[in-house]
Amino acid sequence: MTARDEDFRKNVRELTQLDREFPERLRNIPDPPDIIYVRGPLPEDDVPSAAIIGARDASPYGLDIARSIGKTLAMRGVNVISGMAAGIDAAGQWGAVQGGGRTCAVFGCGLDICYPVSNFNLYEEILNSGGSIVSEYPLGSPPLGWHFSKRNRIISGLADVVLVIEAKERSGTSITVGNALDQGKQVFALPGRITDRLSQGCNRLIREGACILTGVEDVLESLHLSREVEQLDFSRDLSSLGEDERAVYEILPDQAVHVDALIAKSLLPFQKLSEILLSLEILGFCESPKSGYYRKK
Amino acid sequence: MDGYLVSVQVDESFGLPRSLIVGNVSASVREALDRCAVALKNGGMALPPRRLTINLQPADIRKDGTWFDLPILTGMLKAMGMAADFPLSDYGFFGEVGLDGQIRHVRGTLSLVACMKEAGYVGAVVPEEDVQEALVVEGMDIIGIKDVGELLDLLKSENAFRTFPRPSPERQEKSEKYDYDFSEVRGQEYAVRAAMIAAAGNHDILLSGTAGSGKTMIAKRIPGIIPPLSREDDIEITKIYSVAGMLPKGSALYGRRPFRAPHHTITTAALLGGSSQGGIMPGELALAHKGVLFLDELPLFSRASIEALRQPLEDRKVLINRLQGSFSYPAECMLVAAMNPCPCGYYPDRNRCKCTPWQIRAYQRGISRPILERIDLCVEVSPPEFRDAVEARPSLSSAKIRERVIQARKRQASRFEKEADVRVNGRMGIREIEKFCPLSENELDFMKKIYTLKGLSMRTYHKILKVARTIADLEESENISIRHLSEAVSYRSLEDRLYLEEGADGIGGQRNDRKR
Repeated sequence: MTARDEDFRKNVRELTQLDREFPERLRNIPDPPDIIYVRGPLPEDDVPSAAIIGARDASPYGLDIARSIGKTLAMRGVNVISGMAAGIDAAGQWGAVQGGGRTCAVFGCGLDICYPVSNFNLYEEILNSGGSIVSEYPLGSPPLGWHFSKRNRIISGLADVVLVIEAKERSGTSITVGNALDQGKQVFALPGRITDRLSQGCNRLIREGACILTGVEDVLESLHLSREVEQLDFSRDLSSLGEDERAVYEILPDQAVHVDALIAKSLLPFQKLSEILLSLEILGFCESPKSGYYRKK
Repeated sequence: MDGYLVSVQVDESFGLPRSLIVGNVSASVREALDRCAVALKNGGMALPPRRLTINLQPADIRKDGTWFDLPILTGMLKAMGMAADFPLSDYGFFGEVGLDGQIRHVRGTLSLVACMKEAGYVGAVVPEEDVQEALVVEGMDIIGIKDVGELLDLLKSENAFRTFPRPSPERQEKSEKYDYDFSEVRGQEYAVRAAMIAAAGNHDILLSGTAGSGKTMIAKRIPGIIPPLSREDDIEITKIYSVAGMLPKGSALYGRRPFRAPHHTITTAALLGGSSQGGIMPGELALAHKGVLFLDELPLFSRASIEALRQPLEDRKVLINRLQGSFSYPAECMLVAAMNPCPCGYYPDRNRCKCTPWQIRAYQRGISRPILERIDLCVEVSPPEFRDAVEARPSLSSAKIRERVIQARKRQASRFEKEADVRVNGRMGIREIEKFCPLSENELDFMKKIYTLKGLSMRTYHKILKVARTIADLEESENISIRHLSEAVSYRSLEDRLYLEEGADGIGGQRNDRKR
């Protein structure tokens, strides 16, 4: 065992239901874990919490939504719970970290294993930003398939509401939703086009009675928080912008589009458009998630 | 790529009637003797029963190929007194002889005739098929012959040699012809504009986009917007194609900028050139000289072959070392690469793309970083769905784009007049960038903002300056302004993104945003 492992081990707490620190929410679910391993401060029992879950191979739209909801919830002091899987989970938690909030990741393996490896940055950011990681499996447990379907009950258990951003017809997400319903938690699902595979799971949930997620206000309301979302995202002060900049800002969509679409819409040559877009970017009105694509910020 | 002179010595002596060829020759040269003998017989002449010894000098270089048939035949005729005795020492000969006496086409005519001229020869006797190519070398007295009969006529007497009809060069078409035009491209203004900038500054460019978005379409049209070839450049291209045996029969000059698009399964040897029967063959890289080397599906090329491109692209020549010696080909091409976002080509359209994030990452990581670092412009081509939906406007025609490119190149030529080996913006090194891309206070401030906003690396920063210089040249502006810089920033390299992205899900990039 290296010094680093030793250090890691020292920081991991083992909690049973007899411990005072054991989350109240977890005591009350059917089939609560006998023991949980925790690093970092657990979500407090009296602070509202929301789980953001969904597909691993999500669409850019889903990722955007997960991130922005995670961010807004974190800014409003809501604990964001998720499984730190690729896709929606990670996007929601990145959003929470960016919003300066605390987020809790529930693992399907030992806490010393970062799965998937591609989320290593997130893993570190969660701990650095005062969040926590939780698992019912001892250190060194490998990420086995059945671990994940079991840990899902802890995700929904730690949350007051569960938000499903994108899910296919059959997916691991439906297990979490099933757990949430057994535990009596409220479930929100993000509606989508009926032809999108990634929205079929969500749309089915809505048909079966899940709350429809039309904005982060819906979630805040159900958590008994005031609906007022920071006005930033909606009406921004455009007075600092020039005429051209304002015109371009007006046609910028919320979802990233290729610059060819903007050329066609604005009828400006690219030389001019690129200058405007970049100055919008500098002023914080626009962002470019990948080269050639732009969206409102 | 340049030839060397071989002198053929023929000796006739008493002894057993047999012929012998010496001088470190390969099997195909040894066969020349039999071909010549049979060709003579079929021409109605028999070799006298004497002993013939033929030596090819210099005897220490390995000789291969069929160029030597005609000089051997000529030597035999001379030695046996079947041809008049007059000095021919300032004329060169080459060509392949068939059993029926036909003199056939050989590879590398242009190089050989040029080499003869350099050595002080006044003329050359060549196969008739290769006459036009040989005539490209100015000031050489070229004689084309069709068969052994004509050779005999030619060698009948000194007078016959003088009066033998000489061919005249065919008129060359002035303008280069290309099969494709940019006016056929619709709704791709961003990518077309980037292609124009790339051509104007000779920048390497990477087109990325979903399957069917038109990457290949744009790449194919790039040779048509690079300024027209000079005669010297055309000769250089023709030499390479002639040596490779890829020049269309009977043509003089290649006459346009080449476009080479090797498949991604290509071997390193085929890309760079390697030995094959008859010598060292130029590879795809040399064949793209002065033109465009298009690497479609860049991540799928084998790492070895891509890495092997690095040195030649830097030095602008390929050096091939083999047991037989070192061979060098010029290789000064524009690199155009294309890639899909994922193995199936549809990411991020999750309804069609079924690749796992892991697969996507592995695919994108397949690009060699050193090659990516050479590429100044990275362009995301817009997806085809969008273009169907809007009334797409056709882009500028190739001729119009080319005019602007030529203007921009003129500005560069006058700017780099005093520089040793930089002629275009794309070749500027850090020293030249500092000298020729000065920024004023305002622009520097702007770049500082961008530097932190985008998290640029120093290398990307330099690329932006280079590309901004070209954009300014296109707009006929002396100074680089904020507008030029903004546009250059939008073509900033994907490299930082590709390698920082944690998972193909596009989340990891945000880590940087936070740290800033």
